[in-house]
Amino acid sequence: MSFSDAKWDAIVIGSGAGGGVAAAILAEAGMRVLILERGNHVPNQPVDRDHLRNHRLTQYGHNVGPSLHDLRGMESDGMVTWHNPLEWQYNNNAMGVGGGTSVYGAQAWRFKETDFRMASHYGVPAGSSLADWPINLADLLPHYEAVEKELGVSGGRGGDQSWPMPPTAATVKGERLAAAASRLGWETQAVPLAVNSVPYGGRPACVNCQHCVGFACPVDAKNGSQNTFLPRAMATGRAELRTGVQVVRIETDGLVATGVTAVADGQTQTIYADRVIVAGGAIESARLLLVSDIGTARDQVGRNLQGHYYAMAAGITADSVYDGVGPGPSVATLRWSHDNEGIIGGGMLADDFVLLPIIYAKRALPPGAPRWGQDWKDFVRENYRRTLQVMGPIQDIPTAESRVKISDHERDAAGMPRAVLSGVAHPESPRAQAFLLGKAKEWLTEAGAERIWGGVAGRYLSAGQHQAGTCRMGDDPTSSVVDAGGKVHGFANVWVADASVHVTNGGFNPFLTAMATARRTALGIASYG
Amino acid sequence: MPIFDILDFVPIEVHLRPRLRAAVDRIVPRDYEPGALDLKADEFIESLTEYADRYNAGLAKLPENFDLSSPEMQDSALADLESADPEFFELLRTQTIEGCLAFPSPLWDSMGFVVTA
Repeated sequence: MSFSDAKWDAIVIGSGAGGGVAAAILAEAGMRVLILERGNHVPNQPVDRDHLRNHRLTQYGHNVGPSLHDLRGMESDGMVTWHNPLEWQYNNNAMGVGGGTSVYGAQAWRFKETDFRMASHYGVPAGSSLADWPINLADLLPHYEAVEKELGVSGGRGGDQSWPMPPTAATVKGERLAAAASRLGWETQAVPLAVNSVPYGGRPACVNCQHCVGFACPVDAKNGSQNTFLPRAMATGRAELRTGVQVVRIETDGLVATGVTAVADGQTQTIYADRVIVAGGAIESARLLLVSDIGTARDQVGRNLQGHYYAMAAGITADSVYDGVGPGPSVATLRWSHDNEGIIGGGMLADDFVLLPIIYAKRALPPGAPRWGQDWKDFVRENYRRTLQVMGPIQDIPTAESRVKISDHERDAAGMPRAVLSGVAHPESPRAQAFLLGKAKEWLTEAGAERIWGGVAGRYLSAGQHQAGTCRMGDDPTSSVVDAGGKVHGFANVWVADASVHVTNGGFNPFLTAMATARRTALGIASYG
Repeated sequence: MPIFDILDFVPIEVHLRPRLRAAVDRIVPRDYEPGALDLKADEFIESLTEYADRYNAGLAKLPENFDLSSPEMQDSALADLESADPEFFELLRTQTIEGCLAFPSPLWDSMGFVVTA
């Protein structure tokens, strides 16, 4: 690693959903931007299709870092246990160029107005830190629209929206579920996906393969930071992307950041910049601010960690509902997103990606199904094509006790204090999950499924791939970390531009909101910062 | 490979390998299609060297003549193993199935999973 002593206009830490957008906007505004990414490039070719080492099934590894030697703590009853990235307690997202967007499922949902107003709409349940966002849908709308166009989202028309591309391929199961929803009186729409249904952005259309979520796209038809915003930043000639570089500290002089100290290949160097934009994901961004003692005066950094509880139900139909046409998610209903009796919030429900056989065998067999032997073999052959799944993320209800802290004695290979997670979901989250699960089962029943199953989880720490909330935005510095413009309260030149700033995480996959918010933040920096 | 890696490497013991082969052959048996043994699930399991200690301990709990027993006796011994050491049985069951389904396999075809692109 060697960086010149020249001062950058901005350093962006992390190249995922938030960092890519921010880098593109700042570079296009004329700034010299250095993007530091801990991971490496994720190749589209040769096609990596290891069914046991990917981001859908991380049985023995994954295809987008971090190193399996990395550890995070999980604190429970005052005891800390240490977990590697393959264990759920680590709450892995991804680590590579594009962050999770190179291998994600790419469901590109906007949050709805009520998603920004959870506290005032529903009230604040005891024991929760539920709050409204300081911005609303109208503030984000132009950014949602721009990101959908610049990233490339398929969806046709649906609800109150239209998307730049027609929907991705229809599926047999989707048609079956759409007809069932119609009989139930539930409105449905195509699932918006950041996947090219037609050639777009100089790249080809989806080839409808069976390996979408969890894998890089073999024809580069899945749109993420790595093939949209990052190349745009590079095209300005003012941005530089360095991979394999871990930022271990943001350097400060009083309440002003002066640059970052980074480690690569065992070498440490301080790099100077006028602005620092943190976009490492909700756990790593909080960890970096805590290590750097930035925004920590009110003990808010790292709190309100949240992801998504999922309602997931499956059933077995009388005949095949399988066509193997990828990506797979093709029909959704927003009927149960909000204003459900006795429930705070709710969530979207949709059908699933094409199930890989090993994932089917591990996760999608009904309770009581044969577990081995000839009966097992007969069962999977008979039922794989007849298995119908619907699922959806419910809006987690945040608590201040679900949080990221840093260890006072355990450090990683780069010498940086390790993250320690603690807390469990608020009881309202599994309650909403149970409600949405009931609706999922109702949908499957109407679609002709005979044997239906799916359960409710206990209370655990919800973070994982949809991790958010740890540097939430707000007008009041006593209950938030950044202001409505993404700038850390009290600091002159440090911004957070990833899902860490989400006050609530919506009853939807959150990446599009992370991108839209990062775009708004970056345009703010470009205009006044 | 550095010498210490060779010394640390603990394979599934030679005398237990026939039991492993016989066990995977009952967990996913051959019928009109290949079973776990045909699909080399035993070799897949042996390749997961970090689990060898657990296999050495777990397979030792099967009867000594397990691999020479009738299929019915083997199924009964596997059921006994599941009661005696449910954690190991679950590992054996899961990794046998992984060995059959995680790689391109005739079972993909008969389940109906086809890779088109």
